Amino acid sequence: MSATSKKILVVNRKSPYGGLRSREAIDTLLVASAYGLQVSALYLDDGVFQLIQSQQADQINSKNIARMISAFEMYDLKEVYVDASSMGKRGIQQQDFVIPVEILTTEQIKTLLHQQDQILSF
Amino acid sequence: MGNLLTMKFSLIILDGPSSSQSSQTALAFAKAALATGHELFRVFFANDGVLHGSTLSTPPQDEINITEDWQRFVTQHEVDTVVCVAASLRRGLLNEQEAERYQKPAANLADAIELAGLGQLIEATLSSDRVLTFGS
Repeated sequence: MSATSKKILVVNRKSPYGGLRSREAIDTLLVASAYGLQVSALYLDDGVFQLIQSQQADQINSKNIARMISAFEMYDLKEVYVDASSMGKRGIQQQDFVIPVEILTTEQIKTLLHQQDQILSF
Repeated sequence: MGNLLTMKFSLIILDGPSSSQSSQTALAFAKAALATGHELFRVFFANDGVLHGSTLSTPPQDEINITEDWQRFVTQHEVDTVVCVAASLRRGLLNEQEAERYQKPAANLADAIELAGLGQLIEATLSSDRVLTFGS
């Protein structure tokens, strides 16, 4: 297997502004994509808040995470998955998101994880 | 154990030295991996984990100094060890070159550790059989 054919999934579980992990995970995703890897992103737990469109990060002197995520397509990063149950528990719906995503059930997430060569969890 | 069972591991450490026990667990794993004949391709400190690269960490003498323990381990075993440069600069961890570039009064990165970009993390991910992430 050639190295670049490896499938990599970046798992995002942290809220957007609770720390720097959300941003540094985005950096990892963009670098991986810039290297031409088969990289995809999964958002679960409080990580789903990162995708919310109406973030007013300037009010807490932060850079807007949603704006960074909206650049994914420019980086050719189109496989973005979200855990349905994490959304349900937080009252979040698909139309709240800043980019098109694929919403997965727990069973589908299991399959997704099995398909990966490496999983990086943030 | 036969040679066929040896693996090439890379470790990603996300938590700071005083924020959780995970880097102690990671160090125990790293030691056990080498002791059982496995290979450590790279240790990559990201996020608050980069603080393990500081030479200035000074906990009370009757407490574990996990930062020093990590630095001793990677020096002794010549493990390829990297701190993420963007995360490091943000948190005040600099080598001589960066201290000079940003005109800061001191450098505090341990000699055995390299300051590099996320490309090193991606390369480790591609080159290793397993990548383990430590951090809450």
